[in-house]
Amino acid sequence: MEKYPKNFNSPYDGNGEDDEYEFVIPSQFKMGKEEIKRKLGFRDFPKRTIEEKRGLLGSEERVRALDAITTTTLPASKKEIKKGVVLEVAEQNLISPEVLRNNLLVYIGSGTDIEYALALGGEK
Amino acid sequence: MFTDEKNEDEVAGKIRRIISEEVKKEEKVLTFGFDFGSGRESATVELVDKNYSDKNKGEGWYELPDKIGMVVLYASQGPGGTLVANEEMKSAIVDGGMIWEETTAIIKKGNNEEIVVWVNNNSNRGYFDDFINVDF
Repeated sequence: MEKYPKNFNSPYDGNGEDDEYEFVIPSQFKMGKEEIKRKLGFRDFPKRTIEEKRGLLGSEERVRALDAITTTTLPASKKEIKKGVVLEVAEQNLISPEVLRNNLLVYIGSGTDIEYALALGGEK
Repeated sequence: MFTDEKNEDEVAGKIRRIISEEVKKEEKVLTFGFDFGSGRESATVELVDKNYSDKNKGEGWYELPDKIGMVVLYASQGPGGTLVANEEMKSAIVDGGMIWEETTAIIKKGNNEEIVVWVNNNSNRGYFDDFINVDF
């Protein structure tokens, strides 16, 4: 039995009274910590050597684009998430290079972050 | 963003530093050679100085094109608030295409979606730690 905020779907009223109640978690949601971590993708991204990066991205210019990824609007640590994701997209072949070769990559944001598009392989 | 020409130049400068070659700029379209893994190919970047929202349409607002391979959303706060993947984007991406919003991606597979969550415990400590520490 776990205690959860009573009104966890609504704004917390902050009065500290009757804010928790107990309920049984349905069996289909009972997962071990490792399984939860796996489902959430909860992990650090592996450190890659320059050769590994080159192997995954296929060209020196894409590696240079990856290395140029930065962040101005988010905490500096998010930069490593961005780089890690770019490499993982390539490693797991999550999107076919042909999809990016033949179709548009649209970046919607508040910065001038052209590096992602190039590191990901967006040609258009 | 791209109503200011210096931001256009900043994008061109970033590309120039990566490829160590000149970038051709005509109006708001940048053209340059880039090796994506199969040798030098022609790449184009179109800079659009419009806001996008799935609710506000019409003049001055960006209309998503058809046949998008990938939508990347980063720090995409605008007049309509922070932007996340929406049904319009899901319709506009091709089969096998992806919407990447910071730590999450949605990949279109036929009529289904595959969701991939990327989380780094150094930067997201707190919310995810609380969730993980629930001992069932």
